[in-house]
Amino acid sequence: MGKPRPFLNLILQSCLIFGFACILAAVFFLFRGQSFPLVPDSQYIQVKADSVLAVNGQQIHPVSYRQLNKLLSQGNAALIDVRSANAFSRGHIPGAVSIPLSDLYLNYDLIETLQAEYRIVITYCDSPDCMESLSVAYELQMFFPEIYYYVGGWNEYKSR
Amino acid sequence: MNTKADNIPKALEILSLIVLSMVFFFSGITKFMDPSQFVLETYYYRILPIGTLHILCAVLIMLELLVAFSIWVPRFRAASAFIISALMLMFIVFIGSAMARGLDISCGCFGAHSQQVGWSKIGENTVLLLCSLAVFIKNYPIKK
Repeated sequence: MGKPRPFLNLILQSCLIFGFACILAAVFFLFRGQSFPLVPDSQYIQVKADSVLAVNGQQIHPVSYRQLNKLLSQGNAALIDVRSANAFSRGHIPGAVSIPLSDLYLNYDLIETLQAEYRIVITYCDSPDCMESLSVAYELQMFFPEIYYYVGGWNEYKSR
Repeated sequence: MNTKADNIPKALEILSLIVLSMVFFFSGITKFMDPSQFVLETYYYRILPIGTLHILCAVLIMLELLVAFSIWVPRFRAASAFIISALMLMFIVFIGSAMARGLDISCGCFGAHSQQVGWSKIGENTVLLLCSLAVFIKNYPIKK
């Protein structure tokens, strides 16, 4: 009978478990496809991460396409399109109201109406490069207990 | 004969098994449901390169789910406890690093249910590390 090698067995079995986890991760990537690619979009992550960390006080959370739909399906979220009125009229996410950043102070009545009806607000603009949705979200902190901004924006939504 | 294993009561081993498997299953499943959020929370630590985040996070999620079950298999119990101990050490180092740099971030432990980094998280992870070490000592050396 060979000499027992407990440490070698430990390493081999640990590698076996780790290897199986890697295989499962590969299957995970196959099923997830474009929504969770092998190599992430660095700019996308940086924009999301830096914008959340830059906001003091109440946290404003970035949401993905899937999270947006989940919040909207719950029925207690107001959706605000912060692009210009022209851009809004050319196309917008169903259920959104237009409150451009430039006209924010002209729409306080509308904001108060939304505040009476919803406890969650989600803002969006064109794309991750557009920071206006975060700017509006920052201004709305005093009105809503939960604030999100849809990072992908209209460009991602219409492509889905 | 593993004499150190005899010092650890069987009840403690079983309790540790239950705690570790439940914690890692819950941790893995919450991250599995929203891997993008977990990637973001991992990025906040500013330790790992962005390009590797998806791969490392996916492997970690699967590893957590796997060890939550494999620790119940006697043949793989010591190896699973070894992996869990390594993971807990890594988490403690990451959280300590974030605290040292003054980062007020979510620990990313349980997805949306995560707490902020702090001494309580280090304490929790230390307890889990001790549990995994107890299981490891009880089951090492591995018999063929």
